[in-house]
Amino acid sequence: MKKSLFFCFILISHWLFSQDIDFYLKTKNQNFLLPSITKQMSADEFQLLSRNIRMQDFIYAAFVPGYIHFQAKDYTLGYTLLGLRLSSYALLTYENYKYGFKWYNILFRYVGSNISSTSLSNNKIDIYIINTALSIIIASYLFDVIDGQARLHKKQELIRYKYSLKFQLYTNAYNKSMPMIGFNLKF
Amino acid sequence: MKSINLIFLIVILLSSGVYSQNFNIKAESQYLEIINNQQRRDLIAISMRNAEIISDSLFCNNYAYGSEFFLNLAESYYLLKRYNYVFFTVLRLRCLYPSERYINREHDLFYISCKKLKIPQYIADSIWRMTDSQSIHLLSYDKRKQLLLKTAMFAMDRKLYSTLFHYINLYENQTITENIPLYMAQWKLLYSLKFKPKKILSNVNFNATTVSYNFSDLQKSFSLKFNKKVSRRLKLNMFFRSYF
Repeated sequence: MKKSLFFCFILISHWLFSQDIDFYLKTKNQNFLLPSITKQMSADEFQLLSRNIRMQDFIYAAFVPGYIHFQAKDYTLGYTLLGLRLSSYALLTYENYKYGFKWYNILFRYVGSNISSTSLSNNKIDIYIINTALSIIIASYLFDVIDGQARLHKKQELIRYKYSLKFQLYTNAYNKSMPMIGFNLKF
Repeated sequence: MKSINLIFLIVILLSSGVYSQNFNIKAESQYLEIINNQQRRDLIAISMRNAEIISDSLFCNNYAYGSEFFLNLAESYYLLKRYNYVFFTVLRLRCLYPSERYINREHDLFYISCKKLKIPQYIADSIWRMTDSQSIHLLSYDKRKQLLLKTAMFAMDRKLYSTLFHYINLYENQTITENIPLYMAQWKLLYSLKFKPKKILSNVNFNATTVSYNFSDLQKSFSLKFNKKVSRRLKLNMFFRSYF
């Protein structure tokens, strides 16, 4: 009992500290930090660099199909996941209407269901439909979370690589070839 | 004495601006070379936007290191398999920076892109001859730009035509006289009316001195387009009237 209380105390204190359901701090004042960006950077690249996938986003992804891919600006995959998930929800709804909200009994081998034994042999297709719909929902969620995050990270790495390499080349080209006279003042 | 100092200062400031732009282009060219060697298509794809900004500035002003930059850019587009832009970039290299430095690679890239774009052999040959360094190195930069835009129209590619439209606008903003050549104006009009590339090219008259629209063809397509729009609008109107 004491242990669980202690655990709850730590959890709640962390949440209070981070100001949302995440464990690490994110304050509203962070939005007022204005980073110095290069002239060539586009708004899309800036958005991609400033995005982080947090625990909150994992929960959103359960309700909004393809959410993480939309965050990573991968719209084709995002909409594909959205379509897949919606179609599987539609299939489940169809089964719901067919069996009067007892379709989950078909999954668990008709234990405690009101469906008669004669219809058992005829329901194989329904079992397949429900199984595939459920597996698509779970798989699409997992794919969205894992692949979306990987894609976002990859894009961020490429953008960082591009601008850091360019910055090096620009400074090298300018410093090596430019004859300059300057004044230096130190205190 | 003061005025001499002032002039000296202004000259230094102006020259430093030009030099810095030259080194920007050199750095961009080096960057393209590095990523081309890695053959990472994803990295090349995200770098093309920045490269096109630099090539816009090269189109407006004749800076140094432009030829290297355009060759590397053409290689990048070739790795991305965007042959329409390979064609356009080789033309940019040949027209804006006529020299025989990269002639073999230019030739390969140009004819490969022409083949992929299904440009007939005789047109490709004539474009190659028109943009030969011996024939255009005495032309002014303005005339070379005109040649580039005129030859790029033969690509007959919708995606490339959007870039070409942007380039003609750049050219129009840069010209000292207010008028642009008539064929450019015709091309712009037909493009903005969303005609198909083949239709645009067949209706553009390249003799810049005279105006001659092929009105019979144009009128047909105009009437078809407007009829469709009008009928759609009439149907909508009827629907609203019946509904309310």
